[in-house]
Amino acid sequence: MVISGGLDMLVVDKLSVGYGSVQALNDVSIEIGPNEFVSIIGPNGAGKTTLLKSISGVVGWQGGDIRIDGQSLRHCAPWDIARMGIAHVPEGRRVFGQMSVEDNLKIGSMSSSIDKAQLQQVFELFPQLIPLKQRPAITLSGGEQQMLAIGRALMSKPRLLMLDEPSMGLAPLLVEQVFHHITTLFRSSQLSVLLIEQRATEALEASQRAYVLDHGGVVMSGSAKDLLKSANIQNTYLGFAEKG
Amino acid sequence: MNTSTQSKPIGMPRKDSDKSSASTRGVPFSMSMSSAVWQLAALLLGGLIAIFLAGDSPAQITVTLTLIYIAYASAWNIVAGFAGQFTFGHSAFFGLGAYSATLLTQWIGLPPMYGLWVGVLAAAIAATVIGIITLRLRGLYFGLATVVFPTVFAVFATYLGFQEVSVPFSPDGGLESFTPGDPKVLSFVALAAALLVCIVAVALLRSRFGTALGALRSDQDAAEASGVNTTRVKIYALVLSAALSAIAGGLYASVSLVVTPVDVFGLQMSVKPVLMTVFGGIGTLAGPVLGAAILVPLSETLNATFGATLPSLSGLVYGAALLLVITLFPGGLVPFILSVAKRVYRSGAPSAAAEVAAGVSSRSDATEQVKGGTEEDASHWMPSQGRDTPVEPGAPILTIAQIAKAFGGTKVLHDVTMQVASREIVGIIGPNGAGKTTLFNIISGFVKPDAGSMQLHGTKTNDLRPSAIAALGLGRTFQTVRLFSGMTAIENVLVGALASCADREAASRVAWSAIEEVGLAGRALRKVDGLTTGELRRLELARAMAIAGQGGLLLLDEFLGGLTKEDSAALLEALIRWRKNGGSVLAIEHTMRAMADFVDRFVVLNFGKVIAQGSPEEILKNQDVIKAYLGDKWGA
Amino acid sequence: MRAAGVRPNFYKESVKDMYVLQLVLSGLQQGGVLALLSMGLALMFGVLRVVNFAQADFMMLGMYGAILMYAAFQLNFAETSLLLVIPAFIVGWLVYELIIRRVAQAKLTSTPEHAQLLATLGLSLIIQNTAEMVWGATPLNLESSQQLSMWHIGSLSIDQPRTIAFGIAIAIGIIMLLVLRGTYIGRAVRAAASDQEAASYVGVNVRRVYGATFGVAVAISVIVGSVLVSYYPATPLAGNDFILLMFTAVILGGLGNVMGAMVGGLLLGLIQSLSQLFIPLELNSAVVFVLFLVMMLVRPSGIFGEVNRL
Repeated sequence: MVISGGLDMLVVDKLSVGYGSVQALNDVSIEIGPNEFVSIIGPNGAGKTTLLKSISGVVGWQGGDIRIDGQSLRHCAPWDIARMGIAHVPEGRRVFGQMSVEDNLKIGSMSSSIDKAQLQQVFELFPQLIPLKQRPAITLSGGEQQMLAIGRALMSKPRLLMLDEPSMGLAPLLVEQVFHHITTLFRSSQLSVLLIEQRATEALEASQRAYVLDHGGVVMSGSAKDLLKSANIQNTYLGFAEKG
Repeated sequence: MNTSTQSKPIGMPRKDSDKSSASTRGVPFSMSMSSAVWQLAALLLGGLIAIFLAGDSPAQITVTLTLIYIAYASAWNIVAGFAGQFTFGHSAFFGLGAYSATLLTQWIGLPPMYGLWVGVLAAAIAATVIGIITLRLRGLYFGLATVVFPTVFAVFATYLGFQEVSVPFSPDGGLESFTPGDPKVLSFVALAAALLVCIVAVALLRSRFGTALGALRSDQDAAEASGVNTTRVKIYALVLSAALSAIAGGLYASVSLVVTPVDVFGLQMSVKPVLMTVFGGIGTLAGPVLGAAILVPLSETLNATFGATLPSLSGLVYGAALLLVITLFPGGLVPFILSVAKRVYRSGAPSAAAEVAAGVSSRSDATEQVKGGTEEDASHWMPSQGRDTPVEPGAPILTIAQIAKAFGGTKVLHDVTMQVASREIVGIIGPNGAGKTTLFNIISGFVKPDAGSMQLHGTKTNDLRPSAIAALGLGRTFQTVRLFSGMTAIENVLVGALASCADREAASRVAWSAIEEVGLAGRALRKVDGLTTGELRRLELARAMAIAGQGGLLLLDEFLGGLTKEDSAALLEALIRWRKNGGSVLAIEHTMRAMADFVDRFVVLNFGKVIAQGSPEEILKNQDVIKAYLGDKWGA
Repeated sequence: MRAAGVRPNFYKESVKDMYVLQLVLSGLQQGGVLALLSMGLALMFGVLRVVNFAQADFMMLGMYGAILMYAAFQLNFAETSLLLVIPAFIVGWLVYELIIRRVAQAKLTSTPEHAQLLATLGLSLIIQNTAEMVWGATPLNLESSQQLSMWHIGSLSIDQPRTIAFGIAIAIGIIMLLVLRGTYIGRAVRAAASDQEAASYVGVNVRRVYGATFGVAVAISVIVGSVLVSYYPATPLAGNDFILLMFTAVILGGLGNVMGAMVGGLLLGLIQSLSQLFIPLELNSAVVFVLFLVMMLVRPSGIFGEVNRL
């Protein structure tokens, strides 16, 4: 599937984000290039969602910078960032409950003219959504909502697809399906994917590179294959790694 | 092993040295006596000066009106500012006061001074009914619902023929008719009324009820979890506020001399106290006074001067004042003035005068509040919850059987069965979305289970409200810290302590013990808004301990989040002491790390089901658990 | 038309039926006005979560606008409505940008929604009192030629302006339905109302949506005002007569549900009208408010429930 032109580079440069007296992110630097699949894994509360929200412009940051293709995203409104080709599938899916599946997809296209071809491709990717076209999104199951949320993001032909814990709350079989879809999607396009996950295995198997985030800082990074073999990850998750 | 429960905190990092022994200190009220006296004196003096300056001139009526509105606005402030329940229908009570006084004079010749009190009674009854009907609604819905009542009263008043009721005017009437011949008299009476309302407000703030109000206003759910029966508190506040408003209404009738529904039951009359209080500073003592004192003379003067050409200038001023306040300094005039004063006195400690105006207790007042017992209670460091029967170690404190819960179509908890015994620390772990917090919400009474049963200290808790469950001996913390802002640290803990203690002295003892346990005694008199994350978490733990009391159960929801190593270690030691003193702990955590060293048992939840229970070593090796966290193929 | 205080003779069934039918008709007609006002309120609450106390005051401005336009240019109310739509829209957008947005962050009390409500209250006072200063308190009426004209069908009297209001209500309702369901803007509005953050993620300029929604709501109010003035005298406080009815209608239909508000308004008009069969005229506003209370307690989510938003 051809989705779009590609991303040159998204650079998160020593990002620091705090709310009140809580420091959510501390000097975090990551980057993602054209047609790359990067995961960010780590235990809960590590700051992964805050990172995505900062990229999307929903959360302001105090230190550092975020640049896409050299252009800083500081002070950009979230909807403008979305229209730069950065699609964000939020944690918990957050589909528009009262709107139908079709309407959810249509709003994803970000314009009044709907690319019929794009819609068609989304339905090809997620055929389970076809019989549900007119159903209000809130009546869908968790897995179906997840696919809808991803499809909605794809309608805008993004350059970078950011997914926040797509496996959350889903049964193992569905998790497998979702990851399968994401991988297929990635392989058949120019898309770059930034995946946030708690579930280390699935994430590392699907991605090329990964960063491990803990307590607001990057504690490990490297190729996904290497990380898969690392014993330290288990410790970080189950809480036995040394805190920095 | 020493089985007595005398405890001195071991290895507790003390930030500031803390000379006096814990239990001989009281907890300073947010409204210090000196501050209250100053403000009341200012009101008295200001009122007297205004009355004498106005003398027998027409300006005297303005003075009377101002004082009446001071009373009315201060009364509204009790339910809206102190209790945090915004009503937009207070004219219902005001009007009842006005009509009662007037009609009784007309029908049976009862002088207004006595008729007034009938109005108070009527308003109190009305408020009880209205409260019961509307207080189950929250926030916006509640505010809208209250608008309806005065309108209904107005409709009935018109229907019953009371469109225009004149106050019988007998120029020779004596004091009980407020001596119509001498306008100063009514001003004095109005001043007395204003002082009455303010004194009641002060008494409220300096009472157990006042502490509950502060908690309710700040965070209703946290207040409920701290043992405050929020529904009851709301109704009391409303009734009190209504009764006082009726006094103002009764006096108003004697000023305006004609009572019409559209005036005394109208939306404008409901809105006036809102305006004045919000303008002056909602939730403060001086706010409504200042607001009324500025806006009423202003609008009356404008009416008098420009009344012919621009009749609505006063209304315009009201509206503009409101809009200005909301956009520029939403807290109101009084806090704004204070913050300016603080900046002027850059030395850090605000001037005594400024603090007085805010009713903030300055540090010197803390020593003034020395109350509490003469001797530390040596045998227990926390008084028990009135549970006289000692609990044997190992006896179940909390029993959960087959709890199930679904939200909409999603089943969040399936058949969860577990228990926590006395002197046990149990950790609940599991990946995100496993249902842990929902379980906590069910145990603490915020969510009703679809199936299953729960017992706490032998009492079935399925149908109890959270405050009742808290009173049984359950103290919880929340995933994001929910403390009562605007109150000091020790006051926060005090709210919890009041759940179990009969009086403030005993509660103060408990509160100080608890705050010492978590090492925050040095920061006790600080407002919570100035504490760091770590300190906030520790404080929330102290409050939970105070609620649970000795031998109680703590429900801790990810309480280690955001803590440094030292802080975590200190808190965990506090929990070990808690266990030693007969208490139990049920804690949610994401990772096993911090808890593994000292929990007795782990319960692992995944997808709403208990997938494993056992000692930390067993759990670590359990394949199901590893898979639940890291993915099915981990380690394959 | 109300048979003032006279109980009809119920032994004559045909007379009774006619009377009831008359009541139904006038109820629906009055309901049309209420429906329009309530839809604006519901729109604002559904999309922005703002309770706009000044909603009816914009209507009042529309009333005076119609009078002025007639006095100056001999425009009838239809023409006035068209003329005033754009300025009203702009004013609404400005109110959002300058006041509501500023206030959205205000930490007045622990419930920030109160801050917005109070701000609109302040606005309401300003509008009402400025109107009084400019035009005075004496009720103004449109020239009698523009006023109450009637159609007569059999023994039924149907007055024009109210019927036209009813027609406009239905028309606007249908238009809104079509826009919301079928256009990008409509979808954007629904998305922003459903989940503001998620809407930003799909490129919806939430700020613009909010401003436009406010503008539309105010424009609707102004249109209502220019129709209303043909049978209802314009006074600066005219809004106050409607505000409680509006809130009741909105709660009936479900706070935030625009279609529900329309149905609620019509229903309310009917109830007000038909209640005359059972209780004295003077008390029929009490009926409305008792209904309001009952709804709040029994089913605060309205007849349709908040589930079916927009």
